[in-house]
Amino acid sequence: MTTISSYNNDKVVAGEVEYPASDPASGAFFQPDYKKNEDLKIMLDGSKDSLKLEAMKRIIGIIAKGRDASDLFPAVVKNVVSKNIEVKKLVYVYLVRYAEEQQDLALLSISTFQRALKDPNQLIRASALRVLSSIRVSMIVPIVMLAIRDSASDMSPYVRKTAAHAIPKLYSLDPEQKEELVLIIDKLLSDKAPLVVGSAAMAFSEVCGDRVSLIHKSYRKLCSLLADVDEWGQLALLNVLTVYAKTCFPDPNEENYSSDDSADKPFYDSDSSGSPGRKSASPSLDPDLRLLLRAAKPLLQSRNAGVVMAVAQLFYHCGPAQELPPVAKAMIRLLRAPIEVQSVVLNSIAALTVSKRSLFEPFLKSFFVRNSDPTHIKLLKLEILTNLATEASAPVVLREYQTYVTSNDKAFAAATIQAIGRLAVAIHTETETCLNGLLHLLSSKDEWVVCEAVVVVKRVVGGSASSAAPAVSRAAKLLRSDRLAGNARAAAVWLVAEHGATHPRAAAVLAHMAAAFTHQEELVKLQLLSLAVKLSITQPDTVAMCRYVLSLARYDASYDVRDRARLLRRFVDPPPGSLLHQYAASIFCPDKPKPTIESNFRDRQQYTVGSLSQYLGSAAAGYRPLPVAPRVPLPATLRDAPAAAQQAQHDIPAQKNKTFYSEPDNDGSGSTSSGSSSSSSSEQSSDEEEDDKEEKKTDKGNETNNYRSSNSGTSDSETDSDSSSSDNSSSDKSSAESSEEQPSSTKKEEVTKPDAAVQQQKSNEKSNLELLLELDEVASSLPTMTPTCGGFLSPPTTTPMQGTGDADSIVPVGASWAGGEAVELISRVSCGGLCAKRRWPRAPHLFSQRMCTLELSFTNHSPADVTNVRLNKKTLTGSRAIHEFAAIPSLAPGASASVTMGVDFADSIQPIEFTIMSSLGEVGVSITPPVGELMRAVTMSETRWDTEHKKLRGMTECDKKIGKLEDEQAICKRVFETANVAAVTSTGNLLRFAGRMMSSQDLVLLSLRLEPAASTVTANCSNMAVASLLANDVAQALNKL
Amino acid sequence: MIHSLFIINPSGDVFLEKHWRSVIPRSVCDYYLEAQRASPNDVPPVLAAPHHYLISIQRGGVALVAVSKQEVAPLFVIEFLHRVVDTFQDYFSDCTETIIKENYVVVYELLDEMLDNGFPLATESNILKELIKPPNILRTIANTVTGKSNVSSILPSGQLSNVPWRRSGVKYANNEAYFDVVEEVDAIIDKSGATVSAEIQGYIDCCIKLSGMPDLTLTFVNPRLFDDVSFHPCVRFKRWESERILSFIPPDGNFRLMSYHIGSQSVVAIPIYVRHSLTLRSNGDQGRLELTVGPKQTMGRTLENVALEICMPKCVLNCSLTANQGKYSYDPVSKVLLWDIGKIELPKLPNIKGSVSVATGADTSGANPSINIHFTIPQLAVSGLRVSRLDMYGAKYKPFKGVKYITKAGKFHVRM
Repeated sequence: MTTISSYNNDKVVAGEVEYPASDPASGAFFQPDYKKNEDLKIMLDGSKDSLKLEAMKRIIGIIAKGRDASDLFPAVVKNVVSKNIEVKKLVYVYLVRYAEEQQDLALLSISTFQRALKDPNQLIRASALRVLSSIRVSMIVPIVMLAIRDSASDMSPYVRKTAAHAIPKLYSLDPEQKEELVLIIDKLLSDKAPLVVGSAAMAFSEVCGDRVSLIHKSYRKLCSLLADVDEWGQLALLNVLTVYAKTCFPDPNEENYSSDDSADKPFYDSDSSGSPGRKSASPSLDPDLRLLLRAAKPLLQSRNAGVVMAVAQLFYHCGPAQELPPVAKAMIRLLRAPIEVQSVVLNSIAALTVSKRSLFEPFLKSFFVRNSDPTHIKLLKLEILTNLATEASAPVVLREYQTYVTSNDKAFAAATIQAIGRLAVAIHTETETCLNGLLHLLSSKDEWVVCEAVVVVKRVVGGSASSAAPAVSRAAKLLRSDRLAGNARAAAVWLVAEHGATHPRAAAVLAHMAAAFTHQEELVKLQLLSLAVKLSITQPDTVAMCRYVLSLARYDASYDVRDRARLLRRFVDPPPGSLLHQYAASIFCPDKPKPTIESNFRDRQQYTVGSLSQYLGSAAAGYRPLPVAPRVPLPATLRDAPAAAQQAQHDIPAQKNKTFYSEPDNDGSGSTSSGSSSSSSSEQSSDEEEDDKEEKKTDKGNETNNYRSSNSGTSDSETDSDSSSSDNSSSDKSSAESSEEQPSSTKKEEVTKPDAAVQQQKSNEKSNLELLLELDEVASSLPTMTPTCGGFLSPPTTTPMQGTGDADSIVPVGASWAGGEAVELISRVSCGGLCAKRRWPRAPHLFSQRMCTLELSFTNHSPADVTNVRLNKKTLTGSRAIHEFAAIPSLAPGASASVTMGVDFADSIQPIEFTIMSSLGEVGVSITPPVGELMRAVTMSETRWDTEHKKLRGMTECDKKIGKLEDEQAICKRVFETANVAAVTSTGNLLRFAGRMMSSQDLVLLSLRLEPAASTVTANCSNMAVASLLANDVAQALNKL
Repeated sequence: MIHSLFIINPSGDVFLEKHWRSVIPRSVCDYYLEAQRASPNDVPPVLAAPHHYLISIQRGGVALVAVSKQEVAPLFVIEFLHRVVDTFQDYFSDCTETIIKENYVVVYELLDEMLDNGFPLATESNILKELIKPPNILRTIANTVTGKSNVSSILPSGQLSNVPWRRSGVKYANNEAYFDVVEEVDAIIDKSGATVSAEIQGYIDCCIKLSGMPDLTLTFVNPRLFDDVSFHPCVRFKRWESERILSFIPPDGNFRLMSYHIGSQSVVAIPIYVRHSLTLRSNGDQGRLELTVGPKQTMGRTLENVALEICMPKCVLNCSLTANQGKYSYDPVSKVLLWDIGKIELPKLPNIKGSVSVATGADTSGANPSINIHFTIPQLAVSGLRVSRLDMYGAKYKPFKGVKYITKAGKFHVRM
């Protein structure tokens, strides 16, 4: 209870609900909790900000403690619109935590964020994007996608940074969005603000760390920005650039083996950076790699250990060996950092010292162990000391080890003994000293030390007979004194058996041990058996004793011992005719090679320096090994190209409009292609580019409608025949990729063609393009579709791409059906004889394209003339507007007249109200538009429809089940009657229709999936209300079929 | 990247959790707790659980355990966690369980601001302080009255400028800049009094309260001393490389300007010596201990706050000693003998001697305790480093400047 109270002891608002004192004895522990939630709800529902804040604070307390507060969700979410910034922030925290569990309710908050995304305050825009993208509800994927796309081209670098952060979030929510996200990452990578670049690098490595081709064009810029990026960004950027450098530049140490010697003299010029001496040492270093290394080197002086390690990683994996000493120095500095940092750094150093011993040799003393170090640090230091020891430094190291052996820390002392063993094997001049030391330890009073020492001696002695004699005699002495534990005893017996077969003491040892054979441990028994057999071979007078031991073993409790005894018996008492006996000596006493004792860290070298995997010694989830360096460097032109392109972009400021679709990626590849054709650069570059292309083609798969090749390609060949081929290819490609707008492709072409002739051609083309762009307006303002010619006898749906030749754009078309029947608006009774009917002719209104045309026909049923029929009062809300019809001066009895008026419904089906004034008086009229009339038919290619549909999934989708349907013609007809859409596909199982909202120009996609049992109507529109209404209407209409 | 953060108190309770991605159940901390139970002072900073990786730091009695689901640079996480604790200390002046619990709302807001989806967003203290005001009583009262909140609604200008560490519009009535040059001596002295290794770890901590956007340069008399340096991001590295001058626009308030390392290759003066003799006899007799401490190579300065800490072998039951200066205490459970000497005033050398009772029959051979020494020497940088001058550009006023030198024992270790 104490923890709970300490969370809530602050600032309980005076006069608020008092908690009943909880009685712990009655088990009412949860009681007050429940009550508290109730009153939290009351506080949240109230109107006072201070109460809300108080409630939110307590809720955060509940979350912080990890207890469930999800039942408060509805009450909390309401406050997402709170004016108080702190309440709002805490609501955000809550929302992010629980949105995943309460998906439906979380959707209620979405519109608030959408609104906040347009806020003039950049902090609010950014935090809205942050929270929106953190809500892990797959329904909102399209919305987040849209938000990221918009924010990626925001004015404020802070918002762009947030957009970069949002990318991995969306990617983890819906990996299918990868391709689009990659485009955005690409754009962000070429951002000029250091704030953004770091986060973009992070997003890059999270989403598409293997797409190195994205880096090419911004590589040099990234290198130069490295110093200005914040430290966390530097970390991410360094990781990305390391992978890049590894992929693109050959290993600088491969070529000049000769310079390896200089690497062994580390401190030659560690202080002076970029000294002429070093430059001459590595003349073959790629200038771009040099650029990166030079930019990264100052970061060794960063206060952030992570950054230092990332630089170390870069230099170790990609840099020339002679530049490593400053890196080593910086790593040594990190040893003064907190324990955790030390541990990681020591671990990396331990792995590095296995292969690059000379690097850390000067710092030997920095690795001396202190008693106050935690054990795992001690062990790491020991490992490093052992790796570092050379013939020269071994005496110093051994003297240190002497101190360590007597340490209170048993694990450490044991490891030290092992380390001495390793030294003995590794450094031949010290073998004698080490062995003496170890043998000395054998007579230590500490049993523990002795056991460890025996095991190590066994390993060290290995095959060399000369050093074995004293070891054997000491081991024999120990065995006779019965002071060894099982493991050590077995090792001692092995030692005697292996090296003491001819030793006179051996028989005595065997006799002594055999006497107590039954009390030995299993491991010891096995060793004793082999000792007995070996002795029987070398000292034949012991055969009797050997038989005795074997017979004891025959009745042993352990299977292993019995089996071994049975096996060995064959050698001692060979069955008649067996040849085995002759070979006994070569089986039991062969010459064995000396064992090599290796560092445990040898296998950690395969992992990237400083990575989690290296620390753990096994590949962690999501670990990507660095690629193998290529033999031949990738051409530097890859990195040149975009610089020129950027230059060009600067030259044409008029074209620098900030549309998202001006994908810099296209710029890069497009200009590369033109570059390669004009300057005919190396084959490799074009190869590479080919690869790129292919990659992209497979990526984009279905979008290969090159409508523009006929369009602009031909104009190219007319004006500028020699560059036409390259232009063609670039424009083809760009048109294949830029799925929506043409400006990007024009821009690209302009960028890639600097000559004057082309300039002229460009303006030419631009005018063409403007025409294309304005087609929207042109088509809509042409009163082409009069109600009579748009009849459903010849539905235009059969040729959806008719006329325009533009397969990938969205083209408005005339209504497929315009026979809407007239509905009575004013009955003759209500207005003394003037009757009015209305009709939706679905023709574009001439005044504004946002307006629906409404046809009113008046008939005079009264005996007298009706004069001056006009529209009088209109009540309009919001952005709605009415374009009045021209007043009818007079209407003779029995005559009728029709007029058209335009109404902008602002995409809402709220009724509009107005009055009609005439000489007979004023009549109020209210018109509720069916949702189907609020849109205008448009058509597009099927693939385009599919891409648009993909963007509009999730929340913006609405499904309705309907009964079984068969006749496609009838279905289409019914759909056209219900809504002003055009068919994209009118046959098959999936019927696609498309329209555009009059006011907002949002796309409306309607699809009908015909299935044997039941069909489904699906409507997609970014205006969710429209989508659901439309789906309802269509479903109702079709149900009547 | 960091998925979740758990803060655990010494008794093993998770008292705060924060998730930046999907919720990870707190049971994942069991792997940490298990390792901690096995060896409380020796938890590896990185632990691998079946589906997660736990990266932890321990500071101020609490453990911060970050959970990641995939490969991540361990130093990145560790460095960030330390930055979190630094920020808490900056805000609440300390980072303990009680303080975190008292300020959980601010803590939560801070964590939310520092990390977005597991990637750091804003960690500069100057920026954070503008976004979320540190709690203090005066502001709490003011907020209650005026209805303002502790959370800013505008983006701190620092976030967008190219000096993100400095907040804009700083104004002081008294403009002052203080520099503390602190050097810590790390050394291992062996039994015979010879120096096995000695290094100096130095840092310059600043407290800068200057109005406007001052541009400072700090020059040293002998900058060649440094073996290796690391800087606050505000220092212009180019300037340092070419001229060995620290040129920077400082953050507002307290920060560490640089830290440097004078390595084991250079000769380091050891300012203190200990003469020790410890005999332990296992045959039931009393053992004897005698220690004498004296100054050495102190360049005329006095040693202050001297304290010796000896971790005795396990067989030592108790000590009865007499000291001619200071106080001593012996903890029979942890076997730590602490002798707090204070100031050493010549010519009297502090001395402690007496008997040590040893458990009968215990093995006393091979027990080699070591002495940890603490001391401070004011007004001396043991490396001989001196600041030559501080110049200010970019502002009109004349600031008050001060430099203070101090030498301390770092990991100063004498083997017995």
